[in-house]
Amino acid sequence: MGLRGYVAKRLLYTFFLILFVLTLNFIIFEVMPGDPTEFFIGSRQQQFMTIEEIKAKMAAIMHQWGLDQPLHVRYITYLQRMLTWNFGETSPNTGSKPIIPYLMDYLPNTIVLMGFSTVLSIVIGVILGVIAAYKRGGLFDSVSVISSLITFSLPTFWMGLLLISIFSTNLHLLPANRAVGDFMPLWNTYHLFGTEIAFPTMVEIQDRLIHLIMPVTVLTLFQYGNYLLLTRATMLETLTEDYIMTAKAKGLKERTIIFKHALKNASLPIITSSALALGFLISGAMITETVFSYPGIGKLTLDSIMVSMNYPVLHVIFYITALCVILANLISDLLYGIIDPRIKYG
Amino acid sequence: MTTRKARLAFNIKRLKGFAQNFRRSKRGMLGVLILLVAVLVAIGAPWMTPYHPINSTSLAGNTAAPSWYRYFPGGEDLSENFYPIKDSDFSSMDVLNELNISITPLVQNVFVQHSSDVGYPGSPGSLAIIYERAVDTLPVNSTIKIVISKEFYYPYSGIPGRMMLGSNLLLARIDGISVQASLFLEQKWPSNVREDLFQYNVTTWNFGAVDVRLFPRGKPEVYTEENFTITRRVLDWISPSSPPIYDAQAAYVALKQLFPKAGNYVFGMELTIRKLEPTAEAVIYVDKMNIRLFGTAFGIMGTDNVGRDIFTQLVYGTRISLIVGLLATFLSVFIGLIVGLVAAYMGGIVDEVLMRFTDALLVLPGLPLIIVLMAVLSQSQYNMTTLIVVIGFLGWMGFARVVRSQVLTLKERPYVEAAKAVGAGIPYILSRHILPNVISLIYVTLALSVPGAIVSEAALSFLGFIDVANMSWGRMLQIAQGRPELWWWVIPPGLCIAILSLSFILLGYALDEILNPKLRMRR
Repeated sequence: MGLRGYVAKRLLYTFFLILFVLTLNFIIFEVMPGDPTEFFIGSRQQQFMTIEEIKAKMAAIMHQWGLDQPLHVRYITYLQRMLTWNFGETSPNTGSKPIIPYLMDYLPNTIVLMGFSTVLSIVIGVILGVIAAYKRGGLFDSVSVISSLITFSLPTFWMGLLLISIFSTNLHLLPANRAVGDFMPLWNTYHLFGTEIAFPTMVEIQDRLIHLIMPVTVLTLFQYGNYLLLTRATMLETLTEDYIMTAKAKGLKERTIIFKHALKNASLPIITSSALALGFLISGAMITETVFSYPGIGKLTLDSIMVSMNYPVLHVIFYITALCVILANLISDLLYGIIDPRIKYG
Repeated sequence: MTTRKARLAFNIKRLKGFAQNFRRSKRGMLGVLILLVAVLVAIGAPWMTPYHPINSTSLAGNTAAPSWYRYFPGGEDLSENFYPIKDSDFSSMDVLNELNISITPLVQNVFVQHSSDVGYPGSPGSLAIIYERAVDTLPVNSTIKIVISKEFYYPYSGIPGRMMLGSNLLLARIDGISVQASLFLEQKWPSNVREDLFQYNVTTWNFGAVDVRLFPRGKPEVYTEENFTITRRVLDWISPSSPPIYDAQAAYVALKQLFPKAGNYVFGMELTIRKLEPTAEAVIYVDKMNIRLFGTAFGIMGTDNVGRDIFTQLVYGTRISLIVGLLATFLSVFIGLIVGLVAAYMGGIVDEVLMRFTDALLVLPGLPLIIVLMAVLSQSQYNMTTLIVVIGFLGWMGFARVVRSQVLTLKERPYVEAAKAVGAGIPYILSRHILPNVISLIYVTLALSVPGAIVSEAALSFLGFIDVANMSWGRMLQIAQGRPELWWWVIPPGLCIAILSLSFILLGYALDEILNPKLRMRR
């Protein structure tokens, strides 16, 4: 079976996996306690309503959300909604907004945060890992290994608290929360090809970057150790190979040997694990976002569970997160074959 | 019999070899050492600290700094717990020496003595103020002032974190007099200049602002000018209805005024007895007259927002982290082992279903899923068992996959085939041939998954999923969340989480190196 057959099989498998995940997703929120409809009305409104009115309102909401239908009907409509990406609206207590634009208020923040920190931690981890492997057994090696183990086991929310304590409470250098400061967002509009395009001003971009510093630092500290250890381990393996010896015997420069011969051959697990990191792009920063009150998907998830019981949004977040992971797995599997031609699909 | 002995000897030898290998790994030994200390601390917590992590409140001022910080720059103005009156129970005659007692005007039939038979419940002994029924020269409506006080040196330049004061009175026999009592604090600087002497009335409490009279018939009757009745029996100990508490946060100005600097202070009670009839009589017992100054510095690690000892919370938190980490990991390793074994050994449709289920769980976001399940499983209150179960049930997927792939290769080994040919059943093959070969995997996974469980617990506590009966490290950080300037409260719990997690990671890597000899060659 060649690549095409493999891809076809993988895609079929992926489809069933998505169905399975969707079902699980449905079941979990089905058994969640509490009556969301009661929550949807809101306690403030309830004060001014008679019991009959509340019952009527609840029934209306039940009907609107299709909650009065039997389980299997709801399941099928749920599947349809998810598979066609026709997600509907958020719960009434969050304003019944359409879900996709609602999520788009949060998603870019998370992607920027996770993107920055993931790229940074991959770069730092790989560079330090290469050096550590090259100077194996030395001081640099043990210090970098130990320190990566330590930052790996530090709770992220604690690192966040400490950074806030130092740089925001004591030194007043960096903002402790949110993604952008309190000012009217001023947009520069340009006329390009006849259409009007709005860009954020430099001031706003700068402000957003400043707000990113601490969360990105926390996430980078948390993640880089993983890449460092991985790079170090694979580098150690390739550095013992015969072709490295050959390259040395040829009198090649050390830098050439390390980067062209060793790292290139050791890069496969690094690249695939970087691809896997894509899967955590959405859900990986939940705690960090909470500590810094950063308006991202993670914070939205937590608020939707603990504050607003926003099931429709949670369905979508869980679904998209799962899709991300599935996609990342698929990409990393395919990358394997593309990078390393020795691997055969079977 | 001999075979069993031989097997035992073989096992001991193997264990010895393992121990020897392990001792060679420095990091592994460090991990074991830390873990050992943590276990000792967890077991010995009640012996290490006299306090309770949750119930022992008000041990010092709120958010008191560690004691040793007083000797560092920035901590010069901190004070420690200071109890000026040594024997506030008035349990022995010595209080008469400790306290200053003055009676003005000095009359023959008024005196103060120690009483060993009467005392506030739980404290033996008291001071008795006795006004004997005798003919005295005092005119009606004149007053006698009795001051019981203690002079003390307050050694700290900063204010106390909290001041608590109080006293109890028993009006045993009162006839023809009224009583008024107040507590006071007086500043007496070493110069003793009269102008500097200043009296601060801390609290004045009249006994319901009523005149208390006891008529000769012996029937207690209480009346006031407004003529309302008082339900309080005269023969009860009376204390201020709400004892005044001065907290450094709530009453900073008042405390700053009361304790502006180190120096001599006088604390005491002033009893004013007004004679209402030509012949009068009184026996008044005073007990538990006390001033307690709680410090702005306390213990090894200070206190939290309600004056609980942070060191105690850390020590007891070790228990929770260890219990949650280990039990959740045991649970997940157990589930993973079963799922992996069954999937690999049964194969076919069972394998397919189990593995798709595993994949589905792996693909869903971990922490949000844990939070949702916590909400599903616990109605209104969260508890540790639910936490352990949830963390355990969502941590087995990776291990199940590893076990499955391992068992898949083991299944095809010739010795398994041979065992099958001899007629061995599935349980026998599993326990004799398969399990021993995955056991090293189990050890390594056990060690390496504990940190995840510990950090998960801390993160969940931090997010508000708190078991109210236990003070975990995560909960400490949750309470401390809004107070990042209090480093002695914020730093230790996180550091403890990191160190404990690190010990398991080190242990896991060491085990991995020893049990998987392939890895050893790499180093």
